[in-house]
Amino acid sequence: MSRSILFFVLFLYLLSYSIIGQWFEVSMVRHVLIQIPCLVLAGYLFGRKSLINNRFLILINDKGLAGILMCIFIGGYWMLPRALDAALAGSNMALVKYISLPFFVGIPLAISWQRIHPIARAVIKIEFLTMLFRLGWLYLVSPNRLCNFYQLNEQIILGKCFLIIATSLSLYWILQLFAEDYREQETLKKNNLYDQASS
Amino acid sequence: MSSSISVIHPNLSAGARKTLLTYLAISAVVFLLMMVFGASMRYEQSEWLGMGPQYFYQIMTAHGIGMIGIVGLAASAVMWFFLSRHVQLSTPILVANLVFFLIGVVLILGAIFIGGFAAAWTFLYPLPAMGKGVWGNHAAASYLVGLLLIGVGFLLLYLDTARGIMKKYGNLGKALGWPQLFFNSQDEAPPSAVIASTMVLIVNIAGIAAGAVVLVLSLVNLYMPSYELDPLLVKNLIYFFGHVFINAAIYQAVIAVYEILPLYTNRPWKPTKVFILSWTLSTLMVMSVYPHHLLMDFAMPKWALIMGQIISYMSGFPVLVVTAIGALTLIYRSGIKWDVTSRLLILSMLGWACGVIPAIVDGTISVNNVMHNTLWVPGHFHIYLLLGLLPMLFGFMYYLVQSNGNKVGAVDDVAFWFYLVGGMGFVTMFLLSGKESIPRRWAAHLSEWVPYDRIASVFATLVVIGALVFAYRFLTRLSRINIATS
Repeated sequence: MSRSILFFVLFLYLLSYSIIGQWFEVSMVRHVLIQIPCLVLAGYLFGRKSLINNRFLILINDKGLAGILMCIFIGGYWMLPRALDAALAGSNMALVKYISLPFFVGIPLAISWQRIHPIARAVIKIEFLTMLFRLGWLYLVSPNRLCNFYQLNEQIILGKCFLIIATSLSLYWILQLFAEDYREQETLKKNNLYDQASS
Repeated sequence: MSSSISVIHPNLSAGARKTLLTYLAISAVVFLLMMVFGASMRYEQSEWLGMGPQYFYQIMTAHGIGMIGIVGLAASAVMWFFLSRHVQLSTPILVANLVFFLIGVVLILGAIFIGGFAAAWTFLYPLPAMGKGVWGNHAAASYLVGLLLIGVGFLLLYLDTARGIMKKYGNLGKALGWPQLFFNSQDEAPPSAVIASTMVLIVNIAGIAAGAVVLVLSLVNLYMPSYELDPLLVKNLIYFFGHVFINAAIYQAVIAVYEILPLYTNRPWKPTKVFILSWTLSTLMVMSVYPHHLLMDFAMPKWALIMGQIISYMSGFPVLVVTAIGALTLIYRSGIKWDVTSRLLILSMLGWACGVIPAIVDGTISVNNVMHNTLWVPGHFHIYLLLGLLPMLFGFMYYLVQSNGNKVGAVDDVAFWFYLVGGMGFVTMFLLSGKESIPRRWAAHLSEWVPYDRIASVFATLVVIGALVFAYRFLTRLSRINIATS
């Protein structure tokens, strides 16, 4: 546990106040496509490793609903270009970003994802894809800079990246639906739950 | 034989039964209402009504979106009924779809009849934002949000069918019968209801996702016009979504043919390799044929237009041929007794098969450039829908009504002939009008065109009378529908 916390804190420092963290923020593409996802990933990995079986979190996060809603709302806020500007303009908002993304998006995602209903998981995946397509399209057609700190050409590159990521993810998830055997996964899941319950 | 047709569902819960019957009851009423709307447009063009262009285009919008939505709802009820015999589906999701649907319908009706929205069901960019005083941005937004909510409901439903199917069959390839088709698996192929439902969920989830993107972007444009969209891209996405959705309605409803006709003929309808192959091909073609709606858009890439024409020629065939030949083989010397259910189901095969011919004609680029904006096109899709899809859905309703010994009267037989003659005459007048280059989507017609409209109006009235009897029969027999568990 203590090693996990150490790695987690070190990872957060690297992503935020270190030279690497600052380098991410210089470019809109690196900021949105590397720093923010990595902050979420840090929280997610820490949550998976250390908090997924925490009884208190399971108690207050019945069926993963509270956690996934927190993840959606906080994550949604950081999708706003205005929020990126605020994080770059002031150190307080930067701190809010470095804390909120791992703690209120990554960790809730880790402890909720397997607990929510499979239909809800699928809806979130599809909405995530469609949102990437929408944002990509909007960034491409926007006549103005959406972030004051970044130039228009970076916005266009980011829009294209969104479309590429959305297309690639769509293909990957479609292939999964044809290649994997979900009966085996169901059986494994049941066995795991049985093991947990019996231990 | 019809009196002994049994309606069996081994595991239909009381809640699911009630919800499915609610789906169908709402569908019966809305079919009728939308047919009255459709007939009233023909009366207007016949100069028998004086509603004026504003109401005409509102009714045209309501008729288009109303029919697409309601056949989707009714067809999903057919799919759910038969699929849930094989896989476990969620009744709360079935209810949720209905709730989303009804909220969406309220928003759409409000947009059209209170807000005056009349941009046709296709809401092609930038028309929703150009009401010019006839409708405002809020009305257009209400229409778009209504559609979005209906899409969310259907998305939940198809995700649930995907979950149920994959839980039992492992993945979508296995549910489509690929191990039997490509790897000579000796395991029994999935039932036709499962294969058809798998195809439907694949194409419809893709279609709804495309619709969700374009609807939100259109909403953004409504309130922030500086975000100008590419009209051709918007049109592509709308037609991908719309074409897939209405096609998928047919592919859901045809499950009724696979499941009910064998009961009438006492012959099983087992999926063969050809059957599986045809459904796999149709899965791909339904998603790639939509450019035939854009053959007049010269800015489209040439390859897309050529693909639209070639796949238009091919796409109707696989499932249709397999289903039509399968149905004929089933009937031949089977001693089938003709009642309203079996007649409607066979009529649906005829309508579906005949609808392919004008579709192929219109799918030819050189013809399309002349015919696409004429009444030929409503002629083509009304054959599919009025004579193909709706008889499948009414046939399913009669299957339930005549369940386990319940009988219907001679008036139903008469209504069938009204519907058949009226439907055939009605679509023929569309095709003849198209041949005479009468434009579509025009509220007022030149005096030379009015005779066609008047003959069509008479046939439309026959259709409405037939459908009135069908709907009345279903609604008044709802409480007597008897679905046995074994």
